Amino acid sequence: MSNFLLPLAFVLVMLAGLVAYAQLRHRDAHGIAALRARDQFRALAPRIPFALVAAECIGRLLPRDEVAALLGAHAGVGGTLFASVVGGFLPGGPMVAFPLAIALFRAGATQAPLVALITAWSLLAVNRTLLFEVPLLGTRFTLSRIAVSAPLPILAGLIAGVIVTAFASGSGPAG
Amino acid sequence: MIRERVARLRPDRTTLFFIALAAVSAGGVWLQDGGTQVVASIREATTLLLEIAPVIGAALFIGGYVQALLPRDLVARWLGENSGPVGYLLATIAGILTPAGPFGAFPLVLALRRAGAPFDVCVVYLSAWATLGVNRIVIWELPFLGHDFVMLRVLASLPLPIVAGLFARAMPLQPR
Repeated sequence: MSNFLLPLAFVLVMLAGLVAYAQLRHRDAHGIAALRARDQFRALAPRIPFALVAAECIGRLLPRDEVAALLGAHAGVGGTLFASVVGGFLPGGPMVAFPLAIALFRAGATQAPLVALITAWSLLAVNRTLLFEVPLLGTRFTLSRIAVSAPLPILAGLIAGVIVTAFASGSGPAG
Repeated sequence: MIRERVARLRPDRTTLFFIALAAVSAGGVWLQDGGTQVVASIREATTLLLEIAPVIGAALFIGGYVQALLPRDLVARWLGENSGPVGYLLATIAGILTPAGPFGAFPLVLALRRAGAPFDVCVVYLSAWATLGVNRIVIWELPFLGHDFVMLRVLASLPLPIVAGLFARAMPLQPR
């Protein structure tokens, strides 16, 4: 339950700093900031409730045995590979990816494959790539970046696996 | 005037997609576990929404202020002039600190490219922003997944921007 208090404190401090800076240096920034925030709010507000309900329901529908077999403790490197592919093709923004990660956790996925999944999603996010990267930076740039980013989720998953194993075999608490 | 307002209320495609996804998955839960579990799912989602709403609300204003205040050209010039290890380090730090969504990061890369930054520096910046960006970690990941998991993922992701940059540098055909 305290998971969200720390982030809230952090964003409030950060916002206070930005507001104070704008007040001292760029008073006209207040108006621009409010307009941008309003536009973003209008885009996000209707989506978030439905996205959260969908993620919660999908979590309940996931077949536990299959999730545990593909992404669980015994899936090994194969689980990390599989998770990287799933994450790379996962559509939607953070309001889909993170609730889905919780759902997979509950259904028996372990940490290393989930690290790979989130890394793959964050590097390759299909929507973001199509909406922002291709129009702004071009197809050539985008394809080149995707090519060099493709191995990274697997690397992150493997490193996470090593860290988890190191903690599990030592005296410290695992995860 | 009224017609304009109605048009504004009409959900866009992405929203329709989420509405359909929620309806289909709720229907699936209803078939599998019955109506009480659909109600329980909606209750869980509402709790989560109430928890994250203040954070997201504040974050929207942070994004707005950053877009209004960020000296984009200055950052671009600064990163464009530094290549090699120093450039990689600066690009990583800039990526971690860029406290905005894709509407902030990609225009910055465009400015970087125009200022003459090489492909690998742009890749380092984007990889750092995507995998280590403090904005997304604080607003989305910590509330949803908790600090144990987030610490593990951040530790595992620390080398990624540099590795991506080295891959990008080794690419035979550099995008101009």
